[in-house]
Amino acid sequence: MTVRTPVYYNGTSIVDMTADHITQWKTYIAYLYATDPTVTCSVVSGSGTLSPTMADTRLKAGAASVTGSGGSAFVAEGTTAEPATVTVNYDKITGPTYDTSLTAQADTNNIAFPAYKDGNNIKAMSATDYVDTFIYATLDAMITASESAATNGTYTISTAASVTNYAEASGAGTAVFLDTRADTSAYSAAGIPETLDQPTTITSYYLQRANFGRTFPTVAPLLIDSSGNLNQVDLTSDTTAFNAILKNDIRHFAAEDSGGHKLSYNINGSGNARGTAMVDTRLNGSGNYQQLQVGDDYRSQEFPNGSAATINTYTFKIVHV
Amino acid sequence: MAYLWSDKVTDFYYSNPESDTIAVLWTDDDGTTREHYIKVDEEDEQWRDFVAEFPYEEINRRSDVRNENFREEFREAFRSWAQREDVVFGDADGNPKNKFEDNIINFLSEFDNTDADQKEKLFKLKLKIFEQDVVKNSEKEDKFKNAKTFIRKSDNPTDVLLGYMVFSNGAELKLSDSEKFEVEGVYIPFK
Repeated sequence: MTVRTPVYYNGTSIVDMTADHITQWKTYIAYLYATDPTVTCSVVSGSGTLSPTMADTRLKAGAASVTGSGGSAFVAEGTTAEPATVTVNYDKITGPTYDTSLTAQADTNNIAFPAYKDGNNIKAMSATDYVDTFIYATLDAMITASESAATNGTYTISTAASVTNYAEASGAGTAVFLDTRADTSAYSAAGIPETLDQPTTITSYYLQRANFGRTFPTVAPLLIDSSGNLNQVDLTSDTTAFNAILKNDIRHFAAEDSGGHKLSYNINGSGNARGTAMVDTRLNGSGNYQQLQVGDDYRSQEFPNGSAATINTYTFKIVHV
Repeated sequence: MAYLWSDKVTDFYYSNPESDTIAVLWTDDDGTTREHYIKVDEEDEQWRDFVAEFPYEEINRRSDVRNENFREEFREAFRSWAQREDVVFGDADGNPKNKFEDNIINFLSEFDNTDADQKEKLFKLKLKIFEQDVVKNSEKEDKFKNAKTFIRKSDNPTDVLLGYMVFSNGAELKLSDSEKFEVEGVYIPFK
C-alpha cells in the first residue's frame, strides 16, 4: 500500500505529476463524488438520527400578578413569578445514510490503473496503490475543516439559506436549528398581562452540501493497454472509462471503506468542525419588574432581560470511520 | 484555508463566560453581517486555523473591550435607576451626601406635579402606603374607603400623608356636601 506519483506525457517526455497536478485530480474526483454522493444527510421534520438532540432555550415572562378590586397595591417584585425557560428541541438531521450498492473496480489484467515510474520502468499501479494515490488521498482532503472544491459533496452548516457553491440540504430553506431569544422589545408595562412567550429568532442554521462546479485536470495520467502501449486518459468527459472508475470508487470507498476512510458525520463528536457551530443563546437577567394600574387593578409582571450568553454549542463534524 | 469567514472578519469575541466558544462576525457578499461560532478546541482544525490568524491575545483583548462596553451599559443603567429611586450614596466616610431631612422637606415643600420624576415618586409613595398593614387590613367602613380614594386622587405628597393619617392616627376627612367627591379638610386628634 503505497502512494505513487502518476506520470503524464508533457509533449516530449513522460514525467511525474507535480503536487499541483495531483491536487487537481483530487479536486476533480471530489467533483465526481459530488455529482452522486453515497454518504448523505437529510433534513427531516423530527426524530432525526444524528444525535444529540439540540435544545434551543429562551426566557419567557413570569405570569402576571393582578390585584383585583378590593386590593390596593401591586404584588411586590419578590412575589411576582420569575421569568422561566422555554426549551425547544431540534432533531432535524438524519444521517449519515450510506449507499452500499457499489463494488470496487477490479484490477483487470493488472493494468486497470494509471502508470508510474519505478526506477527506469513504467508500471501500472496495483489496486491498493491506486486507492491510496487517488481515492484515499481524495477522501483525506474531503474531511478537512477548511472547505473548497476539494471538499465537494460533503456537508457543512451555514447561517444563510443560500450559499454560493452549496446546495441547501432540505431544498426548501428549512433550518436544522434555530437560536431564539425573548424579544425584549415586545414586552411593555402597558401590555400587562403580556403574553408570556414572545420569542425572536436570532440565528437560523442550515445544512448545506458542497456543490462546486467541475474543473478538468490539466494533465492526463497514462494507462497501459493490453498491447503494452501508453494511452492518455481523456480530460474532457466524466464518463470515459477511467473517470467512470474514479467516480465508482470514490463513491464506493466513501460509503463502505473498511480501511478507515469511510465518511461520517456527528455533532460534538470527533472530527473536524464543519461550518459554524450552532449555539443556543439566552438572556441572562433575573427579570425586569414592571407595573401597570388599570382602575382598581394593580398589575405587575417580570419580563425577560439581560445580556445574551451562549448556553450550549453544537458543532457539526465530519470524520473518517 | 478557506472558510466562509476567511478575509471577511469584522469582529470576534468569547460568547460565554466559560470562554469555550467564540463568535466571529463576518460580512457576506451582500454586505450582511453574519455570526459564525467556533468551539474552542485545539484538536479542531478550524479553531487552529482561526487562532493562527487571530491569536489568543487578540481574542482576549476584543472580548475585554466588549465586556467593558456591557459593564458601562450596566453602570449607566444603575446610575439612572439610582437617580430615579433617589438612592443615597455615602461619601468616603460613609456619611450620606444628601441629608435625609433635606430630601423630606424638598419633597413636601417643593413638590412639582408637572415634573415626571416627582410624579413617579408620588406614585411610589402611594403604593407604599397601600402596602402598609394598617391600610391593607383596614375595615370596610366608608371613612377608610374615602381615605383610600383621597390618597389615590391626591396630587401632592402632603395630602397623601394626611390621608394616611386616617388609618394611622385616627384622623377624619371632612367631605363637602356636593355630590362630587371633595375633601374640605382633615381633623387630626391628639392622642
